[in-house]
Amino acid sequence: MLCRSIVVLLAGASIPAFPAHAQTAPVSADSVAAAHAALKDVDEGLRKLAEAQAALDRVREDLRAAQASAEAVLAAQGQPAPAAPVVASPPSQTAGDHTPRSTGAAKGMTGLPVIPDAQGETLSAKAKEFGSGLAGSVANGPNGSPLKSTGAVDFQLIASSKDKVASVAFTVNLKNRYDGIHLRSDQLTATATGNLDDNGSSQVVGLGGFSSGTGIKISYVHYQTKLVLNGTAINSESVKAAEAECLRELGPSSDKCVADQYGDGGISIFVQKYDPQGVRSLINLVLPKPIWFYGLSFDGNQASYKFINRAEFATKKVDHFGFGGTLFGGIIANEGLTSVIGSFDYRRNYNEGDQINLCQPLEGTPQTQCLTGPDGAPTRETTKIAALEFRHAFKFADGVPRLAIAPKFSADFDSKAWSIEMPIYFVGDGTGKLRGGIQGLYKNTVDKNGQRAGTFSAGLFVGVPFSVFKQ
Amino acid sequence: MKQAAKDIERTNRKAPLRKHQAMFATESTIALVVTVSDEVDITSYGFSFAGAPVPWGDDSGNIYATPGVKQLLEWGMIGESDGSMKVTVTRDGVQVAQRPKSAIPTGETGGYDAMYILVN
Repeated sequence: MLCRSIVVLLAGASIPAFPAHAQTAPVSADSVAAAHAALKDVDEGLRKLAEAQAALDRVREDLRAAQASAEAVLAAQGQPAPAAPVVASPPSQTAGDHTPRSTGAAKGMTGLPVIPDAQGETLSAKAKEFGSGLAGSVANGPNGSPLKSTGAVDFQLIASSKDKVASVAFTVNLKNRYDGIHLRSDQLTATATGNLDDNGSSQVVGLGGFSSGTGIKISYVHYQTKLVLNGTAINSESVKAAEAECLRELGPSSDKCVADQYGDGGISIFVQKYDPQGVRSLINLVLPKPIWFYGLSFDGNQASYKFINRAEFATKKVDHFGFGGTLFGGIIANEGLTSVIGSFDYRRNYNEGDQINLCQPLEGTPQTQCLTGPDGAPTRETTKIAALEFRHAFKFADGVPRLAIAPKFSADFDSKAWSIEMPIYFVGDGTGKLRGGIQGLYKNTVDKNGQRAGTFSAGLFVGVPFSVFKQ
Repeated sequence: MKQAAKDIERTNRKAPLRKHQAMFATESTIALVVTVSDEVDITSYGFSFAGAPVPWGDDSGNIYATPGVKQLLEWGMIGESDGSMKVTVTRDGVQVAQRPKSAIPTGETGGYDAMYILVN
């Protein structure tokens, strides 16, 4: 069955595991100001999410009333009413306390009415699907993505109505090597992720060890391309044409038309300014081949899982350590903004049971008490996912990219599921970066009966700019 | 520009000697330090001085200039569109030349820049 749903994600407010909303900035005075502004946006987004939550609650109340009316009609017609399920509030979801996706399969227990989570398609659940291993990535991936490079400390905050997850990434350039033919670079990036508490503080490793809800990732990337620096580029036709055009514009006596003295960006910027058509041939002289890259990453995370113990009619909590690794490689074209990246991801995590409401009568009263949460303790799950992603930005006549796409195909070998994501960037931030757009996601999975089912979702995103280096 | 072209020609004619002099200290050369700073969205870069690649450390490399001869320091960068960095050349801690901002053109993943170095 092909289900269609539209998920509108609020600008500035982020959803867990949907890092397209992350606000990214190197640490500096400007970035601190930007971070403050971003936090304001996040607060605004949280407020709007809370309003949306309240609206959902009102809809739920209406559904309850409609259900009661229907039961009354059935009773009047002499037909037995079905067991009255009590619809609980939508479950919360935090990075450390995972809420599973509802499969829609009700699991009953003798004497106790049990229904699946009625809000299986909440924003949080949908966002988790967007960010899950299969559906993978995000419109643009910040600290969670495999290919990551940041010269300064990169702080990101991902927030929803229930969560505030902070991550800090730092890249160390192990070595820049140029041997006269090839430019090679090795980079090591460390990323730490943790839940923020109500005071805004987070702890990755505490006295008790690895704190719950936190993760650490180490990734290595190697870049290689051909670099030609033999004095020909500075004497190329492109540079001469740009200098001639500069002299034509500023006058033959201008002393600002010497390309190698252009302080506001250097020679290639000078050529782009005065002879835009020539910048491509200039760069081709220096960087005639595409950029190859490959790498691997390892990560570990500690998470707490709450679940319902049916026998004890109680909510329990357990901590588990999950880990994973990713091998990846690809190519960045030497012309324009185009890249292809392939990856293989192996992961061992813990999967929660279906979300249920478990109710029992309160002794001596006509009322019932209910518990909401995953059904049973989490089970260990291993996933092996291969993915292929293509990124391309379309440049317009002025050479500025104004439209970009990043389709990605992912396949889960174990569950025989696959997905296609298609983020389309078309919203700029005024500085030449594309930061927003729409993302479509089609996911094809096999259910418990062996039947294939497809779901399509679409959402808006705003956040980290389009990039071919930071996937 | 004509003078610059002549300098290039002269450098090229004497390339083997110049390359040797650019890479290693001799009695007739002056040691200079090339430093890269203020990197924004730059993934990697490579330098060449007088036609010879510059061995690179963490964020700096040593070059050896011939006094009285204008020699070309050039570099290529890869990284994000509009990425930039600052390049400074010093002699015993004193600035000899500087490119305050060397950038990758909009819509590209690579950039090229160069400047002539003259020391006495």
